[in-house]
Amino acid sequence: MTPLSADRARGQDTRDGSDVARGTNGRAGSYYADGPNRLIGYLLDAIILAILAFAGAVIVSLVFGPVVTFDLAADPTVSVDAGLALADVVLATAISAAYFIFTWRRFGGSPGHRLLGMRIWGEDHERPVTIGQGVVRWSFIGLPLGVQAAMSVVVAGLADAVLSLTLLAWYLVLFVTTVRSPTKQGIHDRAAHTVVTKVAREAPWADAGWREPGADVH
Amino acid sequence: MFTDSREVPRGSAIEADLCIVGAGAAGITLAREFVGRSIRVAVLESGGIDFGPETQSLYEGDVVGLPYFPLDIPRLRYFGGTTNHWAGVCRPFDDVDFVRREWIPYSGWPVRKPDLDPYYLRAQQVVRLTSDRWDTESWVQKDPFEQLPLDEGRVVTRVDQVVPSDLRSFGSLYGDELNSASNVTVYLEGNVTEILTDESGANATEVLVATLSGNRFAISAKAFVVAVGGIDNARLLLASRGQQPRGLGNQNDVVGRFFLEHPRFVAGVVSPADPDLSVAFYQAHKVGNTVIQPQLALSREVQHAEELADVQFRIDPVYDEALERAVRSGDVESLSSLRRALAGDGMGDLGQDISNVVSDLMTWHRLTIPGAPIPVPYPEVIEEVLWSTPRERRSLIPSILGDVAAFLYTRVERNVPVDSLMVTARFEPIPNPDSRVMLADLKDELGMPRAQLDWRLSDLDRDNVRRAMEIFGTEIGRAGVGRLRILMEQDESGWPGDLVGGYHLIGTTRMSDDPKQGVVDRDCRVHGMSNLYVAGSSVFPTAGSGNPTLLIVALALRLSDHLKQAIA
Repeated sequence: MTPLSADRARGQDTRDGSDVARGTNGRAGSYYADGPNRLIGYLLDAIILAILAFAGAVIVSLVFGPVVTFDLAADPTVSVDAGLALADVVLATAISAAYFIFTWRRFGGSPGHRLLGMRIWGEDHERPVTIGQGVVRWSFIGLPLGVQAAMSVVVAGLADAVLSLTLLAWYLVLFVTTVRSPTKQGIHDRAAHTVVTKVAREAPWADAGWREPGADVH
Repeated sequence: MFTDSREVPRGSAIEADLCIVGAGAAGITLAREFVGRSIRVAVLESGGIDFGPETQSLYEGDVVGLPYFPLDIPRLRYFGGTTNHWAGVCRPFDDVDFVRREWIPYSGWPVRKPDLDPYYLRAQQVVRLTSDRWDTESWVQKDPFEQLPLDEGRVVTRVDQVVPSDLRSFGSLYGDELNSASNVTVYLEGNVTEILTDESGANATEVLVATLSGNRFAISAKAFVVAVGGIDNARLLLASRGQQPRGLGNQNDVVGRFFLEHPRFVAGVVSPADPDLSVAFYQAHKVGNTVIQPQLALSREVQHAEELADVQFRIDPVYDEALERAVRSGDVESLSSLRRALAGDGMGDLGQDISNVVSDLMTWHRLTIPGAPIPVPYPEVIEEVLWSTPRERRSLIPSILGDVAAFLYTRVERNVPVDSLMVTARFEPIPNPDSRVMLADLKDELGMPRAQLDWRLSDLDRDNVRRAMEIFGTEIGRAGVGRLRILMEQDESGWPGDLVGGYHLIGTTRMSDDPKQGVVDRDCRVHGMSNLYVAGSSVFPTAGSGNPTLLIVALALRLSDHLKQAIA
């Protein structure tokens, strides 16, 4: 994490633009949330979404019948009902869209990010994310997974591996563009005009006024 | 040093003290023994440093009699010879292998095991074995796996050592040493087409060398060693008819006869009494830094009492159907191909192999909920795994994780319970003069008659294996291991259809003190000749109980000691 200096946080220092929360309107003590924090946040979200997707799959199975059937007597063979698998994809993707867009809009961040003290804003650092921004942002984060999942239902083997690697590469692009951006805006943030900040832990000298790290404090 | 025979001036007459024909296990071992001595050594190698299909095709020949591999398959014709695809399995022959057994016609060597023991010790260093221990007990004590509880007085365990794959090629191991030796010249791409003698026919004088490019020259020497393998040793002697119309050393029509192999086939299946029986001990595995391959055999006492030749039993686990199919699947074969390619042992269809392995490794993916951001199995998969018995769970591994994962499971978890045990019998065939190598009518590109192999086994061999299997079955049952079902269905050849050899080409210039029963004497010198010797497994009078390479090397070392004195 790169802390914003008090001056920089107020947007008064525009020498290089790095670490500057432009126009934060006095959100001193905030960071542009960096790559590792955001990655961990998404991993927490992924666990929550996996649980929700599992619940969705249970419901699909209960309503429409099992997606996977085992026949231990023959071979054993395992068969997957492609139609029901696609239903699972649609459900899991819809859950993902609702989860992210709603929580970004309503709580200023997904549960995983909020647990780590991160917030998502419009680029002006004042307005919360709109539904439209949420849809654009999710189409970069959640939609590719849905597309890959749908395609993986109908292909197998090497093509499946290629699709999985392509998806992995896509998330790598999102991550790399995020960590390389001075404002920690990956291409999904730039497309949606959003930024993600993280509240800094309060420093012991906070009440005594700002000191540059390393300054002599008496 | 290495010389390209194609660049030797045509018609040259090169002089050497010792001429070694062939640069395989025997030829290279011999040549190394003379490095740095004041003896000029010429080594003739048909191929180059690497495999060449044109040279390899000189090995093609006819197969009549029992089905056998095409003759260019078991052997390799380039520097290092057949060690270039050697499996690396070593164990010295037992004492009994050398003695005459009344019930085995033509058995008995003119040398005994104690005569060879010092050479075995040296041979172990040449083939780069990591241990000189051959007693089963010392391995069993260190081994984490357990033997089957068989009566040791009736069924014994033998332990073969396996040379690491990167140390098996004599060409790779010893090429630099010979190349830098000033008194040794290795003539690559040089094929000996005939050995000439003086008028008496008792003294070899020179060898005629031909190259596929059309060059011709000759090498004369004080002594000659033929070391071109179990088939071509006989072929070269038979084709050298300048002074002896029947071929060199063939005055008694023995050259090429008594061809032996180590035949093997799946001779039985054991249904284990204990469903959790493990036979990990009998699979190739590492003990310390040595890979060992234990085998079972009837004890020598039982063999003697029952008047049997040696039969060795290899035990392979047969897992339940699903695991077994996975272990033998094309995907696992592709994995093996990739491993071979990485080790530099030849490239298969690399793209197809990668595709197969990657596809297989993705098997699990179709059983996870699509759209979930981390892999979560379908509820049905979790339910199936949770409610299955351990045995059913093992059967599910290939379906859920793929064939490669199932294969790795059987390799990592060595105590995977087995459905049955496959018993492969490898037997010592009875020496048979009708089993032989002859010259075919067809000639190769150099004008030399091709080899014709007439491999034969006898009723005695069949009775031998059957009786050995019966005794083995009794012992398996007595020990409570399980029940053996003997499989010996015969096809039109009179033998099971899966009968194969082990690339062990033995006996065609067999050793005997009696010129009527052998081609070479106890010093490996051709009977009736003063300075022509043979090296390799073709001099073995019987096939014995061990794999041949270690003994080939030991005998080559013994021959080198003899030649050092003879030439001096």
